[in-house]
Amino acid sequence: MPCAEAQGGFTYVVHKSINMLFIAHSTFAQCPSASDRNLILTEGIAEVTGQNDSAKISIAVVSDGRNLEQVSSDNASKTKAVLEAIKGLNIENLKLKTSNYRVTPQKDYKARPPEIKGYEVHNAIEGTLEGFEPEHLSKHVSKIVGKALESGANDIHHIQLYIKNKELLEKEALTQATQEAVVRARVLAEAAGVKLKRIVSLSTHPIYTPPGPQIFREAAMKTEAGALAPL
Amino acid sequence: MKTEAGALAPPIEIGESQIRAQVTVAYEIE
Repeated sequence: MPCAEAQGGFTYVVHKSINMLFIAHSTFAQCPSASDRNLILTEGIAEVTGQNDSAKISIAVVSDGRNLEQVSSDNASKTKAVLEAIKGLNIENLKLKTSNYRVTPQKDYKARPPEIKGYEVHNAIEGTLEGFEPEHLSKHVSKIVGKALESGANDIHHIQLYIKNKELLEKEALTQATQEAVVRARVLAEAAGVKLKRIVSLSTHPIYTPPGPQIFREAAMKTEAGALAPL
Repeated sequence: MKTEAGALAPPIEIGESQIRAQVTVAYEIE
């Protein structure tokens, strides 16, 4: 079961008629639509946590040596052995594929001109497990990595754990964040002695920018002029 | 403790992921 925790957000109040302005976010600086209305802008942030149910495992076989054919052959046989060993675990719904095969010449830069002294052959195996119970996922990932290392893999690139279907959690987070923003607006309105009329904008991104009041603009202009004035 | 996959099998803790949402609401006031 996911759990949710709403966090504090920024709050903006724009009240044109009485020149009351609180600014908590500097990016809300230019928005023509906000300048001709009396608005309360609030923001809600929520984080929803869910148990990971999926994993991507990237394992590689890296071989090197002087003779390319020999190195390549060694890498191929080891990669095949690793694949067979992992398949032999008979893990249901495990998807396997190779990726990122590359051959890199190893150069001796002390020689003039630099000479190829050997080769590195790299072949990665990607395993994907999705939609598992945590306990099973943990065991499967551990077995795959252990078996791969036993059978010739010598590079574990990464093990990425994630949630396969995030939609429900995203909806929950959006609901929590929206509720938080609405509650904040109500609190502000009550404290300021005004009534909320209607929602004019609801967004998952801050699109409103409180207009800089004239008094601020004048102050900024004076500062600029002052900075250029000779002493 | 030796696992089924052998001594090279590492312990894996699955853990959790977080989804973060940020919402901005603008109310017109009377």
